[in-house]
Amino acid sequence: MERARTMGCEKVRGQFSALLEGNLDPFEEERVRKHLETCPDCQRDWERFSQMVRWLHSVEEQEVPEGFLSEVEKRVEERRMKRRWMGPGLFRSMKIPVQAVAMVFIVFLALYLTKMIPFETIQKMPVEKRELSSSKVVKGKEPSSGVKEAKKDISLPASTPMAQYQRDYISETKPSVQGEMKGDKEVSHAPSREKDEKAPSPPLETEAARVEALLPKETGKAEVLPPEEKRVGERGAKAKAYLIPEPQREITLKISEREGALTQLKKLLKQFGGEVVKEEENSILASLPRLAYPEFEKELTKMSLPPHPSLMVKQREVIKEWNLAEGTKKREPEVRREEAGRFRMDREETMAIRIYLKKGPD
Amino acid sequence: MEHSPKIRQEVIESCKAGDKGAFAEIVLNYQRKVFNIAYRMLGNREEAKDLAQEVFLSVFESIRDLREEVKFEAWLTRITLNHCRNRWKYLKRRHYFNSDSLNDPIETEDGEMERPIYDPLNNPEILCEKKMIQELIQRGLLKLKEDQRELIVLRDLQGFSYGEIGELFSLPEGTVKSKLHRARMDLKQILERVIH
Repeated sequence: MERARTMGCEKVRGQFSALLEGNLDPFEEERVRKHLETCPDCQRDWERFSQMVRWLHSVEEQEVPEGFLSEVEKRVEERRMKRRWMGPGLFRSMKIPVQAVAMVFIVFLALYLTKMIPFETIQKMPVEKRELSSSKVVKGKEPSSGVKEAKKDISLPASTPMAQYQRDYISETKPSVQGEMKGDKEVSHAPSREKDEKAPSPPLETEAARVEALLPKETGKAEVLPPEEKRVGERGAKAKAYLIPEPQREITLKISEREGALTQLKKLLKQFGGEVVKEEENSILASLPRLAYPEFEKELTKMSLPPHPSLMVKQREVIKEWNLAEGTKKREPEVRREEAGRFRMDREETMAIRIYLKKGPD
Repeated sequence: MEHSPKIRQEVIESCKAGDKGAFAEIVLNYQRKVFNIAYRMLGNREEAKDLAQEVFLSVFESIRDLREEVKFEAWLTRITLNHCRNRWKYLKRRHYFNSDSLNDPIETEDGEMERPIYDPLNNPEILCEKKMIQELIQRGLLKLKEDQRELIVLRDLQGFSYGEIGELFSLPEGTVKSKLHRARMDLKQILERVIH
């Protein structure tokens, strides 16, 4: 009974607005009014409700502040002037969404960052490459395209800001690189030298003398430098190692028997702290500490069939420039370049030597 | 509640053509209505004044886009309500209404005054203090949901018909009626809660 009464109350309260505005049909109005007579809660609610609505209806309008119109006209005029200053409505009508602007910004940022990445990878490469190459030497297989990629990275056009930065970066690390910079100057003349490749190679003594003249400078500075500077120098040298082509030594060794000579050669390399990187039928590619090269060369002369001076050493420009853009087929010299480049990434202090094995005396 | 006299169609056409005199006539004709809607929606005279001026600026700039001059009043009301909604959001973001309580001092045309503690619903002798009641209602309105406030302002304070409101909000009359009843009941509850 109580529940039924409550339900009736809710329904009646839902009719208050209609009752107030006279929108109920006579039968419904009668029913509601009867309920209100018998239900004091609804009666009180109804009174409050109708009173509140009456108050609402009695709310007086606020007076408009003085000078309203003149202020509006002033603002209209200001707006008009502002528009005149902003120029024709062409650009105003072009509404560029914020998302579009943000997208353009992101694209430019991404482009900028991708330009930055190559230099960073170059910086990290020596460490990674050392691990890579050591494992590959054991397997005796061709290294992966990682080196090629590194070369590609290096092939930034000289005009890019990155190239400029790299040059600056190197120039900052002068102390340890100075010796190499000298080598660079020689390298810069490389094209003409490569053209004259068929011409008789310079005598061993003069070449060796030139190499020796360069070496003490590098080593001397490396020893004198304090650890902090040395680190900076090493960094610079690393960066430079990938930017500046280095020569590869080529030696022709005359032998009587291949296997014996090979064993002897390996032993000799090991003795001087070097190692064989790649064995081919008629040649060996080896790495050797730069400093040990003169001594190694002397020992190698003794191994040669006519012990002296048939050993032929020539310093060749192996990597003249990183020219990866042109040519799809790799020629032999290019393959050699890659190998030599791989060497340089292993260690800056080592050098690549290619030893050609020739049977019997000439 | 006085309805603004309907403006002549020629005035609207002249205003469309850029006639400043016609625009002034429109402002004078509707400033009271626009200002009062704004004031009841925002509860602050300064804000209401600024908003009403913005409304007329919008009218001046976009009256050329008005296709049916007959519907000028509905168009103007829609612009006013849109401005009110935007301003309400803006002020709410800045916590403008946070400290607003029904017991706070109330703002009137004569300045701020302390709110009296009394039960106007049950004390008819104090009801003569009309101003007080109006301000109390204004505070109660601000506690309502925005759409409920709009309905009460338009119907009970501005005297719009259910048909006009339905057209403004694109709602059938029945829905407008039931929504308005709900809004009134909520306002009653708010006032009761404060008073008792």
